[in-house]
Amino acid sequence: MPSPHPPNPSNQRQPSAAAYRRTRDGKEYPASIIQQYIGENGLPDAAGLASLAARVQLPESTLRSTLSYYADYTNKSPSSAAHSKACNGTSCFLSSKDKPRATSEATTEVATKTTQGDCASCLGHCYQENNYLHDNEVHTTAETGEMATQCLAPTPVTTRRIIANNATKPATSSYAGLQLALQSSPQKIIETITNSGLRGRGGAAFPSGKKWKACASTASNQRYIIANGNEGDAGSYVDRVLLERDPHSVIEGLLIGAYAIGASKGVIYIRSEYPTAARIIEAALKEARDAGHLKNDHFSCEVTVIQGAGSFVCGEETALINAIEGLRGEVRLRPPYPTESGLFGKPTTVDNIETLCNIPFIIEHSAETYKLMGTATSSGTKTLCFNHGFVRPGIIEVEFGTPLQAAIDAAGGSKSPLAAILLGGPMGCVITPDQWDTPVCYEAMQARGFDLGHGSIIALPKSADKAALLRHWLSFMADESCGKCEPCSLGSKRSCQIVNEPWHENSQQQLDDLLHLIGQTSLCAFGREIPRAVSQYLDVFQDEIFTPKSS
Amino acid sequence: MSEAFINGQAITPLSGETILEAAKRLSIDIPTICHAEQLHPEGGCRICLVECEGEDRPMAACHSAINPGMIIHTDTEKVETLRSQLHELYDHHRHTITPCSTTTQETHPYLSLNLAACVDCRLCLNVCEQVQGQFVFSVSGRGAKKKISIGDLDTFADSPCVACGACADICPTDAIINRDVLNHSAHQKTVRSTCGYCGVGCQIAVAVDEDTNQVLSIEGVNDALVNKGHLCAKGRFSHSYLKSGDRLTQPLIKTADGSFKEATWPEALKLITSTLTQMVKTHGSSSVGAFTSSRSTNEACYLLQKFFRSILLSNNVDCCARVCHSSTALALQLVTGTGAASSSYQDIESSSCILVAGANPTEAHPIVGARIKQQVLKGTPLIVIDPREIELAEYADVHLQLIPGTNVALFNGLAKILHDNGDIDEPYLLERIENYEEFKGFIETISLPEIVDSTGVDLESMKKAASLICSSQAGGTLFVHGLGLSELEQGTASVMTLCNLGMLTGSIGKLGSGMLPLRGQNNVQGSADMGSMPDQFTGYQSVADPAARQRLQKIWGSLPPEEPGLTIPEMIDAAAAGSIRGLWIQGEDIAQSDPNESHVRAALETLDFLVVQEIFFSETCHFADVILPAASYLEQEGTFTNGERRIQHVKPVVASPGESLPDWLVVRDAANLAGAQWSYQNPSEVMDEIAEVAPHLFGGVSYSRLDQNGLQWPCPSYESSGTATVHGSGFLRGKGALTTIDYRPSSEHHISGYPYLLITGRTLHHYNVGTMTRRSRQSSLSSRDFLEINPKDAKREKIKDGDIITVQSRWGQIAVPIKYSTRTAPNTLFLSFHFPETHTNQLTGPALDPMSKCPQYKATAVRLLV
Repeated sequence: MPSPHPPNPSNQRQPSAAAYRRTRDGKEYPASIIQQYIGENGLPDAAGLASLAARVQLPESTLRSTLSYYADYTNKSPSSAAHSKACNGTSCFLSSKDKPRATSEATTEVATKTTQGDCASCLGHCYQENNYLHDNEVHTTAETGEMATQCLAPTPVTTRRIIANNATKPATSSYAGLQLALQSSPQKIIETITNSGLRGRGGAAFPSGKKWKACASTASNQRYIIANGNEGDAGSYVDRVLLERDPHSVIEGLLIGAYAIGASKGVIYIRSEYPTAARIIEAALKEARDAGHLKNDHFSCEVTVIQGAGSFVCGEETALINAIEGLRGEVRLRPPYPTESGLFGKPTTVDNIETLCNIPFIIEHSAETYKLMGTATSSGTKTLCFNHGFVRPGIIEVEFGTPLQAAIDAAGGSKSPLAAILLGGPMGCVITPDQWDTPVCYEAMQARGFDLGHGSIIALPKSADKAALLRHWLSFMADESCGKCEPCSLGSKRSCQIVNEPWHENSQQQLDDLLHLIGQTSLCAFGREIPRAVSQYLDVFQDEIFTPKSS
Repeated sequence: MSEAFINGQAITPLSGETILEAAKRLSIDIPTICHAEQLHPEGGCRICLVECEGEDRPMAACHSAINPGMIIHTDTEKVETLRSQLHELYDHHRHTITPCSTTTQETHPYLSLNLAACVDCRLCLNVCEQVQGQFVFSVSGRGAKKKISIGDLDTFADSPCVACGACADICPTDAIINRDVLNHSAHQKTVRSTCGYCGVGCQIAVAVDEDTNQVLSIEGVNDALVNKGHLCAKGRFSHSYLKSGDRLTQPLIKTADGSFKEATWPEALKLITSTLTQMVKTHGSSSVGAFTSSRSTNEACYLLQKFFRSILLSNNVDCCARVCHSSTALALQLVTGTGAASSSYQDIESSSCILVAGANPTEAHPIVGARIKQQVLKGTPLIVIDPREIELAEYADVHLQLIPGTNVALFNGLAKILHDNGDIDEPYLLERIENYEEFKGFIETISLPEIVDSTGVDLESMKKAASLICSSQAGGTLFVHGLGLSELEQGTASVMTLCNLGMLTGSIGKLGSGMLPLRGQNNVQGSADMGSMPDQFTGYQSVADPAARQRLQKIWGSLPPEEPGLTIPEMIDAAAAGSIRGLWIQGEDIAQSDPNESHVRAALETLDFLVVQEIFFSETCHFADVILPAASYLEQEGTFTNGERRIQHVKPVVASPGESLPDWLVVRDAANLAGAQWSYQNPSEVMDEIAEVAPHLFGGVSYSRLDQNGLQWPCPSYESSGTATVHGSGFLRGKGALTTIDYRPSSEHHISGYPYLLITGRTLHHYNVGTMTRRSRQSSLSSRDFLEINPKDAKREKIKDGDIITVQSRWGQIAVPIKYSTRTAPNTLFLSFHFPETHTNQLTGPALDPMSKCPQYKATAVRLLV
């Protein structure tokens, strides 16, 4: 009998490699298949990898790349639900050092686990401190905080159903906006949204009507609309609140969009750090489906909820699309833009949750009504969220043009003297009290060198350790950098090295130069904007940070 | 304004052009790391950043569009500083990471991964995915922790790697080491030539040490149309046979006791010419014959058939096209007027639908296989028709897994479905085809249930295939086929009925569609072109054609009779019967590769005189009376013609060992000894004569015109730059002809007691009879032939993977180890013939296509004795 002979690669079965292109026409989204598999089996062994690759119709090598990318997969064991994850977001970071751990068993377990480094950033419950995720729910080791819901705008838009509702269960909806839309034409809907001046609320502030029009104008037999629920900015929780308290507005906005652009398929992408939001939107989707809103004589759109797997960068639209396709959550080169070639190569729009919640109002009340609020360039309202550093933390809807100070006052002011507020998360900016008269408005803020981002506001107490926050900020960047481009992936790590070594006389210059380099040369907004924000922070707090005792 | 500016130079951007591409047109160099022209932009290294006036940040030249009005600067202080800072960042990172492994792995014969040197540019991953289509590499981890990896163990050996070497070529560092490449030497030159393995005809750049006469490395030529820089493991790595200790280096003459003694060239050639001329005098011209080598150059083939025809006056000349694509050539000639591909490889990238029948290109024609794969990955529909689930079947929209040898039935069935659905090009049929009406009548006689029965393919799948086959209004279909169609009793009929589909869809004569048979040997096309056929002179001119005879009389001086001579199988029969007494076999090992091995060996024994011209002492050499040492393709000048009719220059790179000589030269000298008075000084002069002899095809071919990408015939004059698509303005025979022929089971089908149909063929790692590849490190990838059997059949027979079993046909038996293969259908078996000890052709028999005389290698009735 001859000795075993090495497998001839040309005879090995590789159905996954072969069917690669048919990922383009897949019925089930690869991300869902992968999630489900890992949820049931943990990470696959060799045979499991082959069969999973065949199911998602990707080459095995590509699937390996994917599985090694997402934070949720790299530490997975079958009993993941029992795993606790402490929140490592900026808001919790700024309080965790001062608060004692509670003494119940579950929380002691959390304490041990956090020392092992099983964290999430962030859990979106910034109105309370010391949050952790356990058994698919968010708990806190501090007192459970109350989240206020306020509206300073003359007419509430995104908070209209939340304020009325008492937060015991999600608001209902008659889908009046959708009914009206269906009586009009897709082109007219796009015109209305364009005229309303609505801009993307996620941070990029791109005119929504223009995006929808570009998508609708790209000839194709298939288009997609995606709701971007990957709200990853530390400090941001507006999208989560909207998903949990007013899911039907999200769904309605999505469906109106689907009708307008001609998308027969929709995806609601929710980050895995928001399991409650995912549950609630799934239930609401079922209600909407049962009520016939997703499929009737005029219109049909299949909507699927897909869960993220632990990647901040997947909030960027092309990375999000890659994630759905079962690929690494890396940013794609643009052009082509998603409206031209997006999910599975088809024209796609990716819209932020808050943006979508504005849509039904605009359709019901008209573009002109919407434009009555806000400024010439930023029409309508923005919902800000305040963290536990304020007396009345929670969400506050304001008309664009409202000075920040008014919102801060409505939040009750800070609990302790503040050095600044951190606006817009890691890619946002630092605003010192002398600038709190800045209006909430994209252009006005840009004119002062500020970035509204997604509108999260974190209190930065005077007593906070500014150097520690710097280190935390840069380690977040290094953790989340996708790896597609070198300046960001290597530069973020290098910046961590610099700030974790003792300061020397060149440290500040070194760090400034490095941040400048990353900001100038990176491929995407993540690599461009975080260095800009950190540089601004360094500018404001350099004296405190670069003294020897802060290293 | 229509212009943009780069460093002050104006340029009008082309549609879709990037800044990097425009800069290249202006000869402005922008540095890159992760970029390669043949790949999509990666955009990861950011080294190619340039400044554009009005933009607040630099732009990556590799993936940013250049638009009119842009004013771009590629070398300002700002970008230079950014670039050097980036380099510093990369270097710092490389010095701080711990390499995963410090020893170079040597589990694979040619490639090693050395991740310590990796710069994460992903060129390896991208070329593997976007050119070869093998998907070997992964990116593991995220951020600064990301790294290139292969499987779990980071080794090439246990991966889907096919050793094409593209990654090693493109890697900018030492991260992927090509261990076949030897160090640079002080006296080194690089010669561009044509690969001598398969009929794809890739252009190779061979680096050679002039002092030691050694090949240092072989790389692809980037601007070559055929392969665009890509190569396969054989062409790139399997060259160490050149230096094998058992190369033939001296002429050998058999002595009385059966052993061989060394002789001089004059001695050997004198013996040959005197013996053959005497044989002709005594027994007539029909007592001698020649097999020209389809591995050797056009010039060598031309001269050998000229020698036999014009000096020995015998039409008994043939080449191994006979046993491979003779059915194809005959079929195409009959129905279109040219016995060669109507399309070119470039049609792959323009195709709207590809149908692959009876071919396994990812193993046998790797570069073409990769091109088809990439086109299909882009979304072009693919239909695979093959009894085996070949690699391409996994990429196909539908795989028609038919019973071996039933192609005529299947193609008739598809023709019927296409016709009945109206998926045909009526105007084309009315204008260009001569017997459409008659064919319509034939269609009505076709019974689809019978077709299902004969082929084993279900009706739904056939309908699906038919629905994908594009008619010319939708771009037409590219019909790619191989020996699976030709090497059958109904070989010619199989190709003719496939051509029916080409004609029904109006695909022949258009860009992106048509007939593309994948010729096997590096010069089998050329060998046939040169007239290595008993009934045709050079250029497919009938030996009885008055005009051809007149022209040849002038050029050659004397002519053979008008009666055609014998084909190879007929010559072997005649040798066995004693009517052929002398043969000159140039570069072919018929004792291993021809069917019905016992019969072939008996015939060779019976011969009075056998001349074998070879590079190694092959199986056939055992029977020789004179053995002539030959130069290999890297050791002689000439031309090869690939499967798309492209005549390409072959240049010597190293000196051939010992006394071995180029084939053409040996034949010239032998002919002159027989009184020929040939004065060719070099192969170029031979080509000049070929152009005269067959001007309609080669009139415009000369070495001075071959330059970088050769010439595709027909190239009738110096004004012509060759022909990519034949029959563009009408069929060369006037009108095309549809074929009305029914399926008939062969003499190997339904043989009671022999329940399996055996298919013989080739695998990726070895080439044909393995003469060259068995003497290179390919053998460490694959060291024997295995009988591939479906696991269900194996279990029923109670045999285990690896067991050695006896296989028996009505013609012979062998013992061979089995290998479980789900690619093999139940009741079929597959066996390669790369190793002489397997004696694969003991099993194949006398079944022949009566029209082309091509043997039926692709379906032999066998049984297993366990």
